[in-house]
Amino acid sequence: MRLMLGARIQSFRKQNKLSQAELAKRVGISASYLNLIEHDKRAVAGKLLSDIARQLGLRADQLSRGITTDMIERLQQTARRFASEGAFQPAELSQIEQFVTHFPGWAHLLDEQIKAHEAGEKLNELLSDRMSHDPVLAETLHIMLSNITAIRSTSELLTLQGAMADEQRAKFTRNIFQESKRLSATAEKLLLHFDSKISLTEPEATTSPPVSDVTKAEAQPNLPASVRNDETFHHVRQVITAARVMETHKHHQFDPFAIAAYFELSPRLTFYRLSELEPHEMLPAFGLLEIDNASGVLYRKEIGALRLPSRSGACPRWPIYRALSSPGHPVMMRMHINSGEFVNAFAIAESDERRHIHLPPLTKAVMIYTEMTAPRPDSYVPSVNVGFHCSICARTNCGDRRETYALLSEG
Amino acid sequence: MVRICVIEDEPNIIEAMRYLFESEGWDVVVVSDGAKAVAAVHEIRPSLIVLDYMLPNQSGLAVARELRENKETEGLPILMLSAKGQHKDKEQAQLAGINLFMTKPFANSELLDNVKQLLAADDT
Repeated sequence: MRLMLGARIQSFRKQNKLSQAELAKRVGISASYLNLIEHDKRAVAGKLLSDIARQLGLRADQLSRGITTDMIERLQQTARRFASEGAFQPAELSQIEQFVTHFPGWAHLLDEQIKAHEAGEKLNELLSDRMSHDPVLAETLHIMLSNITAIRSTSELLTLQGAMADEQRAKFTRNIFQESKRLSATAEKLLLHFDSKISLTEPEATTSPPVSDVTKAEAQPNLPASVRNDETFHHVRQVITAARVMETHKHHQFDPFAIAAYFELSPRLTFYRLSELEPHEMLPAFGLLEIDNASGVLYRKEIGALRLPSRSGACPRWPIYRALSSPGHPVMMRMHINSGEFVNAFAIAESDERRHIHLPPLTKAVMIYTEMTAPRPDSYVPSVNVGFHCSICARTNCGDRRETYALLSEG
Repeated sequence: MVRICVIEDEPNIIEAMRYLFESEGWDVVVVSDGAKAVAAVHEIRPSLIVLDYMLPNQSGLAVARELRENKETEGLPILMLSAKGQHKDKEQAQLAGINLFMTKPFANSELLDNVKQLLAADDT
C-alpha cells in the first residue's frame, strides 16, 4: 500500500511558486531526485517528507492525507465499471491522480462510500446464499410475498377501482382479512424458525447429545460421541478406506449394506465411515442422518439437493422412518425429491433393549444416501416421491401429509 | 377478443387478477396446476399468458420451456410473476423464453401496463 505523494508535492510546489531546483536545494536533495519523487518513481517518507512538507507550509500528514495506491485502484476500478455501463466519461479515467491530489477529502469520502457499498454487496451475497441453502426460509419468504401480493392487489382494487358490486367488495374484504391472518401466521413460523436456529448456537445441553454438522476439515471431532468413542469404529476406519472401497467395488457396487457385509462390519459404523470419505472419481459423496425414536436428530451431514432436518421432523415417507419401525431390517429406497433429483437411500435401525425396565428401548435409525441420475426402469428398488417437511411441500396429492402446505393453508 | 390465461395457484391473487383483467373487457381463463398448464394453453389458445414461477407439480419455467418448444405456442407472449427476484431467476426466465418478468408484489397498474404493452407488441 504505497502512498501516492508525487503529484501532491508537485501541485503544492507550484502553488508556492517554487522550482524543482529551489525546493530540492532547500531540503538537501538533487533536482533530479525530486523529479523522481514527483513522478512517484521514488518513495518518500520520514525526515525528508517532513522537510518537504515544511518547505511547502504543511505538516507531513497534511501532505500525505492517506492517499494510497489501494485507494486509487479502488476508485479507478469503480470508475471503469461505471464507464462500461455508460455512466462515467472514460476520458476522465486518466484524471484520477489530479482528482485525489486536488480533492483528497472528497476522494476519501468517495472511497469510504465505495468500501461501504462493497461490504453491503458482500452481505447481500451472503444472505442470498443463506436463502438458497435454507429451504424453510426461502419457502416461508415466498409464502409471505404471495400473501403480500394478494393483499396489495386486492386492496388496490378496493381503493382505486371505480364502482364495484357490494357482494364483490365484501368478497375482496374477506380475502384481505384471510391473507392478513395467513401473513401473520407465516411470520410467526419464520420467527420460530430463527429461534430454533439461534438455539443451536447456544452452549450444549449436558443431558442430550448435540446436533452436529460435519465438514471436510472437521469430520472426526464432530462425529457423535457414541461413534467417536467406540473402539470398533477405530477398527472400521482402518478397514474401510477410499482405496479399498474402490478396489473392491465389483463386490458391492458402492451399496453401503453390501460394503458392510463385504468387510463384515456393522452397517451403522460402516455408514458413518463412508460419510467421512472424500468423494473420488468412482466413489460417490455420502450424506448421513441419524435420529432416535423421538425423531430427534442426533447427527446430520448434508450433500446435494436433499435437505435434512436440523432438529426433528422431515417427510414421513423417508426410509429412515420405516427403518425406525423395524429395527434390524435394512431398508432401501430411491427417493424422488421435490426438486426433481433422485437420491439412493439406505437405512437401518438398532434398538437397545437392555435398559431399565420402566424405560422404553432406545432405538436409533441411521440413513446414508447418495445422489443419482434417474433410476433404471428395471430397478428392483422402489422409487418413492418424497418431500422435506409438509409445511413446505407442494405435493398436494400426498396421502401421508400431516400438515397443510402453508402456501395453500386456509386462514 | 383478448383472452388471458392466468397460470397461478394462489386463489386470492387469481381473484384479484381476474377482476382486474375482466374490468378491461378481457376474457380470463385460470389454470392452477403446473402439470396441466401446457395442455390447457393448447385448448384455450390465449392472446397472452400470465405465468407464476412456482406452481404445484411443474414449475412455471418448465411450463414456459415446453410452450416455447411447440410451434403452435412458441410465439405466445408470456409474462412471468415471481416472488424470486434475484438476477439468476430473471436470467433463467429469459432463457426459458419469458417475454417479461415481474417480481411480486406488484402494482395492478404496472401489471396492466405490461400486459397491454405485450399485447400491442404481439399485434404488430
